[in-house]
Amino acid sequence: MEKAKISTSQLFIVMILFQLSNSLLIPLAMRAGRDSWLAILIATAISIFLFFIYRALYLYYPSLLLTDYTEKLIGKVLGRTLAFLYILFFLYSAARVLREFGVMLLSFAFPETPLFVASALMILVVIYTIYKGIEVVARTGELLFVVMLMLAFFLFLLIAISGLIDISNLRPTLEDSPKILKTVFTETLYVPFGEIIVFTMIFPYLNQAKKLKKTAVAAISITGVALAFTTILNISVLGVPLIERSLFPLLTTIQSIEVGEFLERLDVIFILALIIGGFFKVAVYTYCALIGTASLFNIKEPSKLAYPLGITVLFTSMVIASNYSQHIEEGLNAFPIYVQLPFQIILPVFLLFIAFIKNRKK
Amino acid sequence: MKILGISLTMFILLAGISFGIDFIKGYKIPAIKSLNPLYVMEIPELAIMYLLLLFLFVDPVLSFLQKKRNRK
Repeated sequence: MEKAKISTSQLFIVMILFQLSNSLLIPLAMRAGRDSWLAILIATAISIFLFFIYRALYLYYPSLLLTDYTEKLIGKVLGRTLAFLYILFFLYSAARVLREFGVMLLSFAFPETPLFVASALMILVVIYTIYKGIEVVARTGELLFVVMLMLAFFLFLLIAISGLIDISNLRPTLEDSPKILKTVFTETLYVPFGEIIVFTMIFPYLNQAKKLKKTAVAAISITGVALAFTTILNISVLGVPLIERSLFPLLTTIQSIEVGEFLERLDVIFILALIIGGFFKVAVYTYCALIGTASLFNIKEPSKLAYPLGITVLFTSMVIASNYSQHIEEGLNAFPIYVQLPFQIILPVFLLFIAFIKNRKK
Repeated sequence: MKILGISLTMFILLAGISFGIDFIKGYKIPAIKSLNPLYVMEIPELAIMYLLLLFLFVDPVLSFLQKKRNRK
């Protein structure tokens, strides 16, 4: 484990940037139709319980990473295998996010640039950041969070000024309640909220462990509200049918902004805010895979892993799917159920149960 | 070399997971189709790709040469 410490405010910012990133980009909870914002809020509430599971595990082993205490909990062979699977899960998730942002860049800003080059440029920045360590990741977050906040403020201001919002697009509410719950448990709970499992690799770096609960709950709640608000904005501007057909609804919403017949095509500017989020998500996932690999394989200089793991993420992002439609289809129908559900909910609950039994006497 | 071995193993397993998900979703000949983005690369892209792959070997080669020097 790297000898570094991050503050609670830094963790707060990194958690928000991490969760917002690709959730702002892709159509979130759209199976619930007009009520997708409700699905997001319900998922936020449930994800706070999920966080308490991760926190309980952390409190049993406050100085160890997730990939370290699995060995203590379920034995050397099984524990190490599970730790390795978690590392693969982090890398695979990083590759998925990288692909999404690569395709987004090509669709909206660089149509002539090859996907490999756009993804390579992004991963090279990520490699440099994770090579420098978690403190640099956190400090970069502090710096970029301000930029993202300002851009978000201007975005909402411009949408409001341009008079695009049509509240009637949101009605009727609660048209199909079971569908909302189905969307929560098959989709929204895993992306982006369940993804905070990755922070079990970062909690040991926190300098004030006592403030973890308040910080993380605040970060999750703010993210949930921000995502619900963005979804309301998308639905009220575009309407459900258009969002369902759009690959990147927020960018389509931004594209429709027209102020005074001269302020148009602002999506290119707001891509900056999305790229900040994407960079963070890939960086946090890859960094957690890096420290996990270093501890699992006993590598003395973890920073040496930055480049090879970054290249692994880059190549995986290229072979993950033959096209973007297939990538999204898998992301909605296969990845949450077969990969995210076990790694984000089933295994942590199982580990917590074992930790409880093992530490009962203490 | 240990680091390169670990990374290569991880890439093979990750590609395996990706193909596994393709298989679950019922895509025909998933392995070949998923490699499409690599097949359609043009010369500049290939050059960048080989350059990135080449850089992977810089660190192991340098540390090997340093060890050799230290032995002398």
